[in-house]
Amino acid sequence: MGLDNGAVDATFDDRDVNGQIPTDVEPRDIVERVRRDGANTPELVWRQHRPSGWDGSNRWMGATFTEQSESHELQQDPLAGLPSERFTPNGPTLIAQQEWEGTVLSVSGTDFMAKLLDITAGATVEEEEATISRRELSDDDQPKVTLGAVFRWVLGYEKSVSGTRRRVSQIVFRDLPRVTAEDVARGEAWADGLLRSFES
Amino acid sequence: MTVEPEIGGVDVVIVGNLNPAIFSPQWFAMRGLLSAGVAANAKVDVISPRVSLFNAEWLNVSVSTDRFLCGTTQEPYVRLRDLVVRTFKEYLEHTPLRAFGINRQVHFRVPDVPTRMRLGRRLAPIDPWSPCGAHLNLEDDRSERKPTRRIAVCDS
Repeated sequence: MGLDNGAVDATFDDRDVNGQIPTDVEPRDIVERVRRDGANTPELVWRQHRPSGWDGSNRWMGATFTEQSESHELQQDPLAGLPSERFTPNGPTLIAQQEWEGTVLSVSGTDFMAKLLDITAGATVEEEEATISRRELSDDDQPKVTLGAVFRWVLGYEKSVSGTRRRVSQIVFRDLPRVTAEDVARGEAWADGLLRSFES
Repeated sequence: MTVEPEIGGVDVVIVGNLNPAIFSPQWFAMRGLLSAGVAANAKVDVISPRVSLFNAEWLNVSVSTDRFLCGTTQEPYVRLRDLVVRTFKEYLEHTPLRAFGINRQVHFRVPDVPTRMRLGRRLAPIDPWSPCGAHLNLEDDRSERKPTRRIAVCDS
């Protein structure tokens, strides 16, 4: 539906185009819209100026859209309703007061022993050892308790979106990237260079 | 004295040529980057060729055709690093990437507005900016969206 100033008000119903989103809509706009109206919003509505080459059909940069009645049009500037600049996390916030990196030294049926590096204190040498119950771990992390496995142990406060605070102890086993042949070659080259520097 | 933040978080941002449609919780789970349970309980806002947006327990993911952003507000933040490194090193190693950044956000609570204003004035004094200081958008009322002026000071 054309406007006097040459702009086009278009109402995009994602159900009408099987989920395809027009290629000239900034993804950032879509993200803002979804965040504002939620995933169940029936329509993604935007206002765009008529692009050059507009042929008047129901084609909009390669994606079909459905023109709808005036009652479905956005009555105000879409930018007017953007969220405030206040930061609101999507989920709870966990702030660590103490964090260790641990390496598993031994494993038994109900617990495991680990040496701990105090990340919070900026330590560079593991000076502590602890025996930790496997009940502290999530179900996902249980199979990861193997000799030499590396984990992070965090003690801190978790704050929910509603503001409730609770003390939390969380252990997360790390998913370190696999060492590739390229990594090994790079390491060997580094070691060779270091060796040469001693010899010269 | 250590002041404990109210909210904290980390975002990893990568700029490149991306295919948002592949970034779903199930894609991460199938490659062992997320557990099956976390992926199954993820809240998906949109998965499409132009943009994907979901959050899964500790992880928030937002991907467009030119930007990958994942973040968390839950420590330990190192698991975000592990996920990003494994994603692009082990599974998307041929994806063209041009830029990389880490955004750290920390939010503190102050007892009242005057305290906040004093803190703001101390961190960013406006006196040297007069009369431009009046345009620095440092007023307290953030409900009114005023035009902002971006000023950069750097060596040349």
